[in-house]
This record gives sequence, C-alpha cells and structure tokens, in this order.
Amino acid sequence: MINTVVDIGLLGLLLATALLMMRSQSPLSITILSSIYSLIICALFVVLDAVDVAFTEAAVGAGISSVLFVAVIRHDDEPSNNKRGNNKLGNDAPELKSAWPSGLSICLGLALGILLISGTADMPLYGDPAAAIHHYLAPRFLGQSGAEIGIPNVVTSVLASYRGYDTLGEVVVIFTAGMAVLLLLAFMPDQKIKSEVEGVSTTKRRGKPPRLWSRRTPLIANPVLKTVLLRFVPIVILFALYVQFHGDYGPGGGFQAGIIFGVGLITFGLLADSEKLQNVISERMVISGMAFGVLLYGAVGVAALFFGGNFLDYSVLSESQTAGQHLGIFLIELGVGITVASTMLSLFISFHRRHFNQSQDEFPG
Amino acid sequence: MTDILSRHLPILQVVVALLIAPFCVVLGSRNLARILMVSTAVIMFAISVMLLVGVFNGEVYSYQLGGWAAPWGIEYRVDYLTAFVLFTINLIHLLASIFCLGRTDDNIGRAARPVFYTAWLLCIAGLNGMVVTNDAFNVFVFLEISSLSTYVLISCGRDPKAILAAYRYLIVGAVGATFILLSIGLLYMQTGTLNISDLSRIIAERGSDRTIIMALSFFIIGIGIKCAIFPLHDWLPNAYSFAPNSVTVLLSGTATKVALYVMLRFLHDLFGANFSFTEMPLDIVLILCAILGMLLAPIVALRESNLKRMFAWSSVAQISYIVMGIGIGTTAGTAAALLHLFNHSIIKVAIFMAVGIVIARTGTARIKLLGGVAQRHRFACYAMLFGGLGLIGIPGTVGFVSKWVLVTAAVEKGWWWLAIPVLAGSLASAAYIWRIVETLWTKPIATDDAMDGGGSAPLDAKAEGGSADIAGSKKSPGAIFRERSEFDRTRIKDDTRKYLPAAVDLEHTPTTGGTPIHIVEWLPLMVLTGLALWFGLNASFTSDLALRAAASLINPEPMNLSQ
Amino acid sequence: MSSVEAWFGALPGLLNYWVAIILLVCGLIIVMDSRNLIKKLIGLNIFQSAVFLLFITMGKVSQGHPPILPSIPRSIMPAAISNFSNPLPHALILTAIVVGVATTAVGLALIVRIRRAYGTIHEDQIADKPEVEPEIMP
Repeated sequence: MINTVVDIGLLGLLLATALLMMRSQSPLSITILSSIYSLIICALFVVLDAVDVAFTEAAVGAGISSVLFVAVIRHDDEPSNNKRGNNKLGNDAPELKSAWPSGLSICLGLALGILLISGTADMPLYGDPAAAIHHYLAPRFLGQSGAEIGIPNVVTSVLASYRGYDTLGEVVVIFTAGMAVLLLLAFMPDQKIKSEVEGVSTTKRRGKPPRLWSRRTPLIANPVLKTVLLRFVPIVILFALYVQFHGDYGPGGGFQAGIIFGVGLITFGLLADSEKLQNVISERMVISGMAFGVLLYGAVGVAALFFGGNFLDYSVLSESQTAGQHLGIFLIELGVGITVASTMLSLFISFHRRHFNQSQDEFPG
Repeated sequence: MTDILSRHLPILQVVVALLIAPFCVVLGSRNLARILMVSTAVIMFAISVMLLVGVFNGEVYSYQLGGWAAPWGIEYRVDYLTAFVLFTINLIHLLASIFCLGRTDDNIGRAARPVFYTAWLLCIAGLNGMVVTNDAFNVFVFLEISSLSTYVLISCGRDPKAILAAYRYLIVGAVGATFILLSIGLLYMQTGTLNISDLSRIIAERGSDRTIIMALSFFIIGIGIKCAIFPLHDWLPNAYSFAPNSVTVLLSGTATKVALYVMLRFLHDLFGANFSFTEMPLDIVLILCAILGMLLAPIVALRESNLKRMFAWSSVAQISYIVMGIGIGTTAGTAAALLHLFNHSIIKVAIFMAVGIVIARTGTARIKLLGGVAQRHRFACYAMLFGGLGLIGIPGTVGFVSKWVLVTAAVEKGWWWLAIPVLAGSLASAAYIWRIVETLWTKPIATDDAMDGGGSAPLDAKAEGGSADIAGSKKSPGAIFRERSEFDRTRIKDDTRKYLPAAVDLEHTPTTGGTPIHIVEWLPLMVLTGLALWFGLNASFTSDLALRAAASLINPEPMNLSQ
Repeated sequence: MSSVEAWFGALPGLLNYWVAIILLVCGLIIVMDSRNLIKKLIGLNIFQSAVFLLFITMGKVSQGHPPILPSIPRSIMPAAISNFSNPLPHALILTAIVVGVATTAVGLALIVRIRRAYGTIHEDQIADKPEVEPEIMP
C-alpha cells in the first residue's frame, strides 16, 4: 500500500518535471530540471528494488551528466565570432518558437503514445510474480549464483560473470566516449565559418603543446567552500574505494566507484590550482588509465583462454570455481573502476579546458 | 593447437580489435598505431576466412562466453550467413584500412592519429560484435560501440559541417538505438530470455501478441535508421559526404551492411518469417520503402552538385535493392539481398576510394569543377566508371548479377511487377552515372571562367598536365602518378587561391599533390575493381555463397555444434 | 475501506508502463521539436530513461526485495526466489545507463565544437550561416 502510494507520487513528480522541461527554454534551467528528474527516477528505482541501478542513476544522471551539461553551458568565456558581445551559450537563442512544442510533433508524439499504450494491454501487470520474465532466467540467477559464483549481490553476479561480456562492451563504450571527447576537444583544430567571408577556414594554431590543466586559477575561489570541500575529497575517495570493493556484497561496483572516485578528483581539480593537481595526476596517467582498465578487463578474459576456458570464464583462474569467480570479478571490477574514473576525469578536463593552442606534433605526456 | 584456435575463432574475431584499440592510444606513436591497425585488419580478415572455411566444412560455431550455457550467458554463433557477412565486412575493412594510410583529408593533426585509429578499430570491432553475437542485448551494446565511434569518425571531416552531420546522426542514431533497446525490452518482458535462438523458439511456441507486435515495429524503426532505409535515410547523405574519405569508404562498406544483417537476422531468426511476413504486413512495408527509395534517391542524386554526396544518395538507392530482397522474404529473395549486399559493398567502396583519390588530388568535390579530370586521373576515374556501371547493372558487372537474381526471385514469388521499379531505378542511376561520365571525360578542364559559368580553353599548365599524362601512359604507374600529382599541386594551389577565402592558410594545409598516389591508395582500389570484375563475370562463387547463407537463415539445418 | 484498499492494490497495474510511455513521448517531442542543441540532448536523456523505467518496472516483484542474497554461500530455497526482484533487467539497465552517458558526453563535445565553428548552438542560427560546399578537401 505505502509502496504504491510512493510509486504513484514519484511517477506524478516525474511527469511534472518532464512537462516543465518541455516548456523551459533556458539551457541552465533544463539542466537543473534534468538533474531533479534523475533524482526522482533514482528514488523510483529504489522503490522498484533496483538499488544498483538507482545508485548508478544518481551518480550518472544527477552527478556526472549535470556536471558536463553545466560545464558546456558555462563555457562562455571563449572568444565568439557572434556579433553580440556578452553572448552566453544558448541564452542568445531567439524565441522563435512558443514555449510549447509545435503541433506536428505533438500529433506525432500522441499517435505514438496511443499506439504504445494500446500495446500495453498484453503486458503482465506491475509486480506480477507470474510474469514470464520471473520464470525463465531469473530463478537460475537467484537460486544458483550463490553456489556458482558465491557473492550475495546477484546483480553483480549477472553483470560481471553471467553477462560479463556485456560489461566489457560497456567499458569499451565508456572508453570510446573518452577517446571521442579527447579527439573532439583536445586534438582537432577548430574550424570556423566566417559570416563575412563566404567560406570555411581551418585555423591552426601553433604553439605550446596542449596542457591538460590549462586553467591556472582554481574554479572555486570562495574560501569557505574551498575549506569545506577540501575536507570532503579524502572522504569521497575513501567512499569510492568502499563502493569498489564492497560491490559484491551490497549495491555498487566498479562503475559507481569509478564515478565517485572521478568526482573526488574533479572536486580536487575545482579547488586546487593547476600545478598541484598536475602533481597528483598527469595527463598521461589519465589517458593510460582509460586504456588500462579496458586492457585489464580484456587480460582477464584472455587469461581464461590460456587456462583452457572460454573467454571471460573466471572459473578456470583458480583451483575452485568460486575462488576463480571471486578473483575474476575482483579484477574486472577494478578494470571498470579504473577506466570509468579516468574517463570521468578526462571528460571533465576536456570540457573545462579553455580554448587552447593546438599542437600538431606532440602527443601529450 | 589448431583445434583450440578454431574453437575460439568467433570470440577472437571481435576481441582482437577490441583489445588492440587501447594499445594504439597507449603507445602514442603514429607509426606503431598504423602498423597495429593494419595488422589487426589482416588478422581479422584471416579469422573471417577461417570461419568461412570452417562453415563450408559443415561446422556451426557456438561459443559460450564466460563458459555459461546459452540462455544464461551470452552466446556467439557463426553459421553460413554470419560467416558470409563477416567475410564481407572484414574484406572491406582490410582494404579500407590500407586505403586509410594514404592521403588523409581529415581535420586531425599527426598527434591525434593514434586516437583516430583507436576509434576506427573500435568501430569495426563493434560491427563484428553485432554480427557474431546471438544475444539480443549484446547486439545493442556492440551497436553502441560502433555508433559512438562512427559519430566521432564522421566528425573528423575537415568541413565544419562534418560536426553538424555527426551531431545530427548522433541524435537520430541514439533514438534508433533506444528504439532497438525498447524492442529488446518488450521481447524480454514477454519471453523472459535474450538469446536470439531461444527467443525465436519461445515466440513460435506462445504466439504473438500486441507487445510483440510493438517490439517488431520499434525494432524496424530503430534498425531502419541504422540501415538508412528510404524514409529513415536522412542522416546518411550528410554523414557520408562530410566524413573524411577513408571513413566514408569504411562506413559505406560495413556499417549499413551490418545493420541490414541484423535486420535480416531478427526478422527471420528472432521474430520468425511467419510472424514478420505473414501475420504482419512487413513484406509490403519493406517493398514499398524499397520502391520509393530506388526511384526517388537517384533523382536526388542527379540533382546533387557534390560528387561524394551524389554517390551517398546512390547508396540510399542501392540499399533499397537489398531491402527489396529482404522484403520478398523467400530463400531466393534473401539470397539476392545478400548477394547485392556483397556486390554493392565492393563497388561502392571502390567508387568512394576513387572519389577520394580524385578529391584529394583536385581539392574539390564539386562536379562542376571536375571537368576533364579523367584525363589526368585515368585509373581512378575508370575505376569510378566501372563501379558506376555496376550500380546501373550493366550486364557483365556485379550489379547486373544481383539485380538479375533479385528480379528472378520476385518473379518466382509471382511479384513480377517488381521488375518495373528495379528497371526504372537502374535507368535513373544510369542518368547520374552518365552525368559523371560527361563531366569527367568530355567537359573541358575547369578553369576560373568555367567556374564562373562560361567554358573556356584549359590553361597552359593544364594542357601540359594533359600531355604529361599521355606521355606517361607508357611509364610505370608510379611515375605517371608522380607527374600528375605534381601538376595537380600547382592546379589546386591556383584554384584554392582563387576560389577559397583568403583566410585559408595554404602553407599549413597538408600539401595536396606533393606526393604521388601512393601504393596504399591504388592497391586496394585495384583489388576491389579486380574483385568486381571477377565476380561480375563469374558469379558462381558469390551466388552460391549467398544462396547457402540465405538457406541457412530460412531453413536452418539441424545443428552440428562444434563447441 | 476495503474497497479503497483493493483499488489501491490493483492500481499500479499498468500505470508504470503508461507513465514510462508518456515520458518516452515527452522525450521524443523534445528531441524532435527543440531547436537548441543542448535541449535536444536532454530530451534524448528523458527518452532513454523512460525506456530504463520500463525495464526496471518489469523486473519488480510485488513484496519483493532487492536481489541481494541474505546468506552468501548457500543457494536460496526455490520457494524464496519469488521474494526477490529480477536481477537481469537491473544488470542490463546498468549497462544502458552507461551507454547513455557516453552518448551524452560525445554529443556535448560535438556541441562545444559546433559552437566554436558556428558561434551558436541554435539550429535556426546555424541554418543562417552561409551555405558552403565542402570544397577544400586537400
């Protein structure tokens, strides 16, 4: 009963937030609404028993995503060739449209929605224990993973072992995104379309090789914030380590830990000045870290091949099956954590980097 | 040893590229990254050949990842169809990655080259993963790997519009991928499993309901975006024309083809042909889209002023032939689709390579400015023409073979009227190919005046270039190319100074003609042209392969697992 | 009283799916309709999270618990299995969330570069910029 009330309340909040987001025109307020939306859906996930997913959604949707959006929106200190002087990104958008969406997309959306809702008629009801999905694969995961893998968190068992290959794919996706952002924001020279001249110019700046920490002054200069937040950094990092190594027993795991770890370092980056942070972590370390996690994950898989098992078959890594599974899951979660933490750091840095000089010849580090 | 190796072939096909990609960026050296990339391509091609041979010997590979049995763990599975598509895309990838070593026209400096190669390898790893896997959710994961790297590869183009094209493709592509995810979710909700063979069995047992119909429709929209099926093709012309040439070459031969494979696999294997084509009117829908595409896209191509974009539109048209084959749904129709998938990959990749060579040498993709180019880039232009003839479907080319098989399949099913749009589409493609021929061969060499609208005599320098060409025709290809490119460099510099804004820093743009057409550029082009010639005249190998692949999809034989 | 309770008991029914579908449509409308590139990306996020909600809802079992086993080494009794929600959708959606944030990051990087090239992130203003053929391809 209480569950139902909470569920319905959260659904209502979600809808309200989504409608507000449709209406809002300012990128900053949409971003803030989107992080609220993430928190609500995160609470909903808890109600729906998906604690691991909620954890991830909180870290990703309300955390990293919002940080990235804000980083892009406040990235307004670049020289702009827009004629307006104090041009804030996105806020210069002319109000060509009314705040509400146009008729065509509403119609399309409504048509799709009605079609979809009519399609729900054959779906199993909420929480129905007789639904097909609870009777085929899930009983084995719930019933056997204790004996086969030996860790209490079944989500981790599924994620890291039964479907470990998907997780390898997931790490590779993160790695790909890291590489993509690095390529787009760090390596490519900027192009500009000039409104006066009919044409395109590829401007290439020569100069010092790009430095990851090009911002010399800390982003947060307020002494109160600085003092308080600086105390938090070690706690955040400690918590990340807890989440990393306790993921087998409770909600959490490499991915969440990686994000939290990354956030800890990002906070430090916001507070400390550039030299200090560069002493802690160099650019080369960040890039290598992204690759190292993937390689560690892959190495576990390849090691299984050499021990005579299939790819990612952890059971062959040690004498007993569960010991092998423990070892394998530990290592791959570590790989996930390293890649995710480095990628988060790299994303943050890339988005906060000023318009910097492009080097043609030097690889960073 | 070979036994163990052959057992692990399906996973090696994907994991080699997946794990070598990070090395490229860690090592940070451009030359090492190049070596790694090409050797990976060689290894992957070798693996795909081994798989094809293995399948010919009657094996069906089934590989349990993590050692977990199929519905609980993820399964890799290689049958005729899989091996056929793997062979196609890895062949194209090998040639494309050799081509990629040549002149580049992207917007990344030398320092970023390893990262570019990393994205390249991840893209092809993702595509291979989509083909090999027999798990619906795994398809989504690898689809995303390849999509994300595709977006960034496209954005490497020099024109700022490349970034815009990449962004628009990202939005559309992500919506498509999410539709696929939704479809997988609905299927899972009704069946409780994610394994494709398992899903197909359960769907056949329990019958369809509204949720499964929803799943099918979302899947078709999602994968239709990735395949660029006619009304959902919007991203393709922009993405292909603004991406760097090497990327266009790679994508045109692999990305859409893999999406088409996934569609075929899901329709026949997962949903079941009975459900997709008999219960649901999917055959009509697909054939309608195909007819529209094959008639309308060539018309747009005909009006296109940019050479690369024109051929991108032609890709939309050619994909329609494959979709028509899929829509026919019979073994013969599917075989026609697969045959055209292979044949179109070969000719379109060859065309884009030739286009890339021409664009890199002349510095322009505007058809108007390319008048008389064939006199200087004879090899590239003849390769382009030969590919173009294949696109039309002139007898003796690969295009004819696949269109013939397609029409035969349609007639066999009693839908003889499908021959009309096929023929009309071919005529329409003849029109745009003729336009190219007319410009490249017969028009006078573009000059400043020609640019402004009036044709005039070639400049002296260009006449010299022409004569050097004639004189060089008896020399070794390298010498000819060297002379031609020397000539081109002067031409492009004059041209760019004239036409492009003063802001362009010519000293810092990589020199256009300073180096000859390198072996890495003409070799893959020559191989592809040779293959197209061979398979056009002697189609027994490819059509046999396509027929077997189609048969394995539609009437799966009892399994002979090699696990 | 009991009728109210029965009504509440039956209420979630398909409601979660419906809300997920409405959110999905909202997200899609934002993606289709918005001219601001950042808003488009956020619309994409809503659209994706609606699908996540659908997945997670189907894994829920009434009166169930999060799929974390109380006792480690022993297998749980078959009868107790139905006390836990289905872990598989959770694992899938974890992966999908990561894929979503990766897509967002790449999209944002592209937006930053679009802004550098065009000076705006508004599609109408981008369309105003001079139409240029990609002709320098040296």
